[in-house]
Amino acid sequence: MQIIPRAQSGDREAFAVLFEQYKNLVYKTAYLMLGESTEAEDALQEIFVQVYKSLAGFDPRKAAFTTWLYRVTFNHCLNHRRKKRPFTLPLEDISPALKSEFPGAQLAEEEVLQQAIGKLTDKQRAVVILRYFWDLSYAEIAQILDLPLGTVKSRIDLALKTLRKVLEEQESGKDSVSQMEVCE
Amino acid sequence: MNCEQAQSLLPAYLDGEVTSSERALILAHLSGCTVCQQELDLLSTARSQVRAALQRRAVQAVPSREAWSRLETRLTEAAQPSSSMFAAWFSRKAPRADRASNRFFGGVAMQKRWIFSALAGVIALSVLGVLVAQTATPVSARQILDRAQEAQSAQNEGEGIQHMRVETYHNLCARPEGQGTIVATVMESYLDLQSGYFRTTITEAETGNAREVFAFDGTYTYSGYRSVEVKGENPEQGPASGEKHVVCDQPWGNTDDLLTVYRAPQSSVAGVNLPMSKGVHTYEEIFQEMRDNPDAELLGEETWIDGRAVYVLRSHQPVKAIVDGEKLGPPMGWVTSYFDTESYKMVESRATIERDGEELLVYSYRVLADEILPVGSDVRWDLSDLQGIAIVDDPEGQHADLLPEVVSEEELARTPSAYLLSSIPDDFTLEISASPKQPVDQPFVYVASYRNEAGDYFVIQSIGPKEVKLVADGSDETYTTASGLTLTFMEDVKDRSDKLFTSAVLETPEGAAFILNSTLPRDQVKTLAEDLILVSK
Repeated sequence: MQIIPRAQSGDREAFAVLFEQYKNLVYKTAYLMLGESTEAEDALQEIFVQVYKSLAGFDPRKAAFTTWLYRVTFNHCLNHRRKKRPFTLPLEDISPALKSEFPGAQLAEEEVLQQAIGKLTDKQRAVVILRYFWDLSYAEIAQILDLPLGTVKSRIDLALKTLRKVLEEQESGKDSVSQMEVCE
Repeated sequence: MNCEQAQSLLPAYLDGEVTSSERALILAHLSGCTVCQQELDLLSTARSQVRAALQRRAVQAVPSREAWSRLETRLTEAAQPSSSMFAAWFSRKAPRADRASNRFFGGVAMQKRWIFSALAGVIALSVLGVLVAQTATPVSARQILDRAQEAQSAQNEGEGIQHMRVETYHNLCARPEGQGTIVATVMESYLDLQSGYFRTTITEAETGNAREVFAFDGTYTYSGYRSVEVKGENPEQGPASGEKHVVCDQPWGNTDDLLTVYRAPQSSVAGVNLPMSKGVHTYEEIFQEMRDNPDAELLGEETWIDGRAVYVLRSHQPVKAIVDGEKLGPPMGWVTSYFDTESYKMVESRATIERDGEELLVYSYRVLADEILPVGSDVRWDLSDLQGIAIVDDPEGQHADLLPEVVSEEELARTPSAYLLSSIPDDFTLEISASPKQPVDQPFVYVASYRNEAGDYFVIQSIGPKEVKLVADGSDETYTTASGLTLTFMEDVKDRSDKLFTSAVLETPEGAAFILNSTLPRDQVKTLAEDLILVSK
C-alpha cells in the first residue's frame, strides 16, 4: 500500500498511481504560476520526469512528500519564469464559465484582480499561491521554498499590500495597475 | 507599537501567524487607531478577493487526459539504459500496458480465490481524493467523472485501517421481481494499511448469514465460502474456463448452516498483485464504461440516503446481464451513478435494462461506509466476533485459500516442472511467489516476476496442463524454441491508454503449461523464451 516506496523502487505502476494522486497539485500550481494551460501542461511533464529521476533520493525522514513535490514544482516554475517574458494573463484565458459568472463590469473587475495577481513578482506569487490557494502555513511555505520564516512573512506582506493597492486604485477609478516597489 | 510597526504585522495577523504577544500589541493599537483599522479592512478584503480569485482561476485547470500517456513515453526514454544486454530491447518504444494481462487468471490456481476480485474491487474504490478542488462552481458530467477518476486513482497511504461497507444487489439474469434468485449482499472489509492484515466478509443482506469470508491476521489465513451449484444459463462454461460463473438459479448452498472457515498457518505474504476475475462487473468497470461514454449526462444534484449531497449522472451503456438463456453480449441499459459532491467518490451505481417493456434493476452498489479508522481500532482479524461460522483448523492448508508467499530459486528447484530464465537479465530483479502447501501430486503453481526500474516486466505463471485450451480463441501465432518449448501467442492487447502488451501460453515437453505476460514486444519475448530452462532437480 505504500506507493512512494514502491515508486522509489522503480515500480512503474506505483508511479502511475503517484502521478494520478498528485498531478492536480502540480498542474494547478504550475497553472497559477505560469498563467497558461499549455505551459502548465508542459511543466507537468517536465516536473514528473524530474520527480521520476530524483525520487530515489527523496528521504521521507527529512520532509513530507508533498513538501518535496511542491519544492520541485516551484523550482521548475521559477526557473522557467526567469527565461520567459513577464507574466501576463491572456484575456482569452478567462474561461467562458467565468465570463458567464461575471458579466460586464464584474468581469472587468475579475480581470483586474487576475491581472493584479499576475503583476506580483514570481517570488511573491509563489508564496501567495501556497498561502491563499493551498492554505499552507508560513512554516510550511518556508520549508518548501527553503526560506527563513521572516522572508515568507515579508513576501506575503508585500504581496498583499500590492494587491490591496491595486484594488484600491481600481475602486478610485484609476485604470493603470502599478507595481509597488519591491525590494527582494 | 506605532502605525508602521502595526501595519507591517497586519497580513500575518490576518493569517493567524503572529505570536500571542504581537497579537495583543496589534489589538491594543487597533483599538485606538482608525487609520490602521481601515488598513486592516482593506487588507482583509484584498486577502479574501485574492483567495477567491485563485480558486476561480484554478478550478477548471486540470491536466489533459493524455497527460499520463505522454509522460509514460518520456519516462521510458528517461529510463533507457545506455549499455546492457537489454539495450536492444529498448531500441524502440515498447508498446505495452502497465498492467499484466489477467485474462488467464481465474484458472486452476485462482479458482477458489474469486473472493479476491471482490476485495480488489473494494480496494480500487476505497481511495481518497484529497486534491480535488472543491468549489460551489457548477460542474459538468465530464468534470465530475474526471474528478471521480482522480479520487479512484489515489490510494490510501500511511497509518490506520481502511474500512468499507458495500451493499450489493445482483439480478444478473434480469429476472422480474419474484422470479429466480436475486442476490443482495453486504461486503464489509478492513485492511490495515501498515501490516497488510485484512478481513473481508460477505453476508446476505436479508439474513446476515455469512456467505464467504477471507482474512489474514499475520499468523493465519482464514477462508470459507459457500459452494456454488453451477446451474447457470450458460452451462458449457465450466469451472475450467477460468471465468467466474454468472449463475441465475440457486447459486449458493443453504446459508442457514454454519459456514466452515478454514484456518491455516501463514506468516507472510508476497507482494503480488491480486487479479481481478472476469465476469464480475466491478465498480471500476461500471465507472470506466460511464467515463468512456461521451453522452454521460449530469441529471442534477440530490440528497443521498445519508443526507449528503451527490451528483447524479446517467449514461446509456452496455450492462452485463444474461438475457434469454444465453450470453448475447451485454445488452444496453441505463446506468445511474451517484457521486459525492465533496470527494467525488462514486457512492452508488444502479443499472437497469428494459425487458418485455419492463425496466428491470440488474445490479446496484451502495458504498455505505468508506473511512480510515484510527490505528489500534478494534478489528478482530481472526473473525472471533463473527456469528454463523465454524472455524476449523487446517494445519496443512489442504482446504484453505492460502496467500502467495515468496519462495527462493532453491525452493522452486525442488518442485517438478519449474522453469526460469537461465540468468536474470541486467537491470531486472526476480521475485518468485507461490501458494504454500500445494498438493504434491499436481503441477506446482508459481509466478516468477522479472521487473526493472523502468516498469517493464516479464512474468511467467505456471498454470498446469489444463488451461491450454484457453488459447483456442484469439491465438495468432505459434513459436517453438530450440529447446522444444511451444509458445502460442495471443493477439496483442491494448489497455485503456492504447498501449500494447504481449501474452502467450507456453507448453513444455513435459506437458506443463505457463502463461507469459510481458511489457516487451513479441520478438523480445521470444528471445527471452529461448533462455528459459528447467530448474527442477
